Order: sequence, then structure tokens, then C-alpha cells
Amino acid sequence: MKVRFVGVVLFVLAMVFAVGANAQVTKKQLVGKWSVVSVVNEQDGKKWEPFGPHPLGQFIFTLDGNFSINLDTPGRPKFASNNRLTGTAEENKAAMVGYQAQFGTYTIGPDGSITLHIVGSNFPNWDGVDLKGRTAQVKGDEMTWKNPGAAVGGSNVIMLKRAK
Amino acid sequence: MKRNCAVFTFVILALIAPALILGQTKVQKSAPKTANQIVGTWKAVAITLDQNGKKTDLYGPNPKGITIFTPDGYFARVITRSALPKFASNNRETGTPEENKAVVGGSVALFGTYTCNAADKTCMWNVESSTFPNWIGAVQKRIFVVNGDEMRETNPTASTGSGQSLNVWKRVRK
Repeated sequence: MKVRFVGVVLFVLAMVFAVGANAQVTKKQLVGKWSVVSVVNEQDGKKWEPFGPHPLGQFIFTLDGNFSINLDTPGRPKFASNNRLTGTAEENKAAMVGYQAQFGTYTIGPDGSITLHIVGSNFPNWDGVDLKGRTAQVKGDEMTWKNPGAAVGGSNVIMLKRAK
Repeated sequence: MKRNCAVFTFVILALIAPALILGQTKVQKSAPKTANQIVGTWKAVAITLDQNGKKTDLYGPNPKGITIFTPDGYFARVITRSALPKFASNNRETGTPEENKAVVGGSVALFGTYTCNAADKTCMWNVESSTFPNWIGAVQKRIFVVNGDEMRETNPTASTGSGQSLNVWKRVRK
């Protein structure tokens, strides 16, 4: 009898610790505002930084299930016209290539992978698309975000820091 | 014997319970530090450019857009036309000049920090970065009036260089 009770207690303890030690990201960990520290793309074994050595970026995941992602390459020149609608071909290209913006809703699958359901972005080919297979690992105030299918090809590893 | 086991189980559960309850309390404590009407997630309803009384839909009819204000003072915004033409190359780095122009002219994204003055309903946006480079590092005044689930915004310095934008947002409920 005692053995059975001890067994039940040990099982309950094991469950509690298993949940605590799970490496998969939880919504609770993800929710908040994150600053981008680095973005590294790896393609055919070669590593490079698509947003330069000092990227500017922000990820927000809200409790209501929405997200926004903004990534920018610092140092783009201002539009000479001071009008977003009348940029030169070079100014538009720099804004297009240098900056990535997307928003929508997010879900975390049973395997811990994250799907971004894109509502709008500055890359029209993504609109309405489910971007699957992102993973996130949170340790303290640091998050490692992995995207196996980067927009520029290859895979991205993005390091982020939680805003205090 | 049976009683001993029951006591043992009770002690173990008593040890676990506070940890679970504390975990819950911690989440609740991270709730709004600066209680503010604009904190939350907002969906674009209308983005209108007003140039000396002449009004146009700055991102066409039915714009898509999100604005998020976090309780700890950060904001993010992305607005796009409802249907931007897809890139033929399927590569965001190799758009044609027309494709790039359609996106840059048909969308805006920015993020940074904000502070609000409750007395005159104005907020200041410190733009950390934006698709429109002229806004990077800018400090912008914005006026927000919240009524129920609707937020009306006035941006006296539109990204078109002249005129003001008058925007309507709807709060996203879970």
C-alpha cells in the first residue's frame, strides 16, 4: 500500500519537473518585447549578416496571439524628397532590401515549433501565408530564434534580448 | 499505515502548491506598469491623408495594419495596402523598380518607444527605426483619442512630407 502511494507521489513530482525542464518554448516565455542583437544567415556552410553587423530590430508577441517583427539595416540614406511615395529607384530598393516587416498571429504547435500566420508584410509574396517551422529557445532574458527557411535562402539564427 | 501515506501525500502536495501559485502570481505582476488606454493591440480601420481638406486613403481602401503598445513603453506599427503585387522573382532582394516602388509607396513599418501625456492626450513616439528612413531617430507627436474599442489617431507629420494623417483603429480582443 505504502509503495503504491509513494509511486503516485513520485509520478506527480516527475510530471511537475518534466513540465519545468521542457526545452520547448511556451507562450508565457514568448510574450513580450524583444530587441534584436544579431541576425546570422547560413547558406551552403557560409555565414553572413543580412542586416549588417549592428541590426536594428524588434519582435513583439502579445498575449492576445498577435505578433509583429521588424528588422532593419542601419545606415540607409534618407529620401531626398522627404516623401515616402516619391523615392528614387535606389532609395526604394534600399528600403525594400534593408527592412523586413511582418505582422499577424502566431501559434505554438505541440512539437514546440512556431507558425507565423502573416496578415501583412513588406514582402507581398508572404501575405496570407503560414510561415512554419520557426523555433525559439528562451534562457533568462535571451532568446534564440531559428528560421530554417529564410527569405534570402538558407537559414537564419536571430539572437534577441528581452526588453526590461 | 494508510494514514501515514495520506499525510505523506498531503505534505508533498503542500510543498508543490506554493510553487505553482507563486508562478501564477509572477505572471500577474508583469501586467501594466503604466495603466494606459492605448496599451494593447490595434487593427487598422482607416488611414486617411488630409492635405488642406483634400482627403485620400493613404493605403487604398481596406488597409491592413497593426499597432501594438506594450505596457512597458514600446510600440510597433506595420501598415500595408490590402493587396500589394507579388514579386515575380519570389525574392524580396530582387524586386523590379516597379515592385519595390509599389511596396515602399504602399506600406510603412516603424517601431520604438513612446511616452504619453494624459492631460492633453498627446504621445511622443521615439522612432528607433522605420521602412521610411527619414523617420529613423525622429521624435513624433501623435494624438490618440480612445472611445470604447475605437482609437482615433492624428499624425501631424505624415510620411508624405505634407498633410496630416487621420487614422482609425479597432482594439483586437482575444
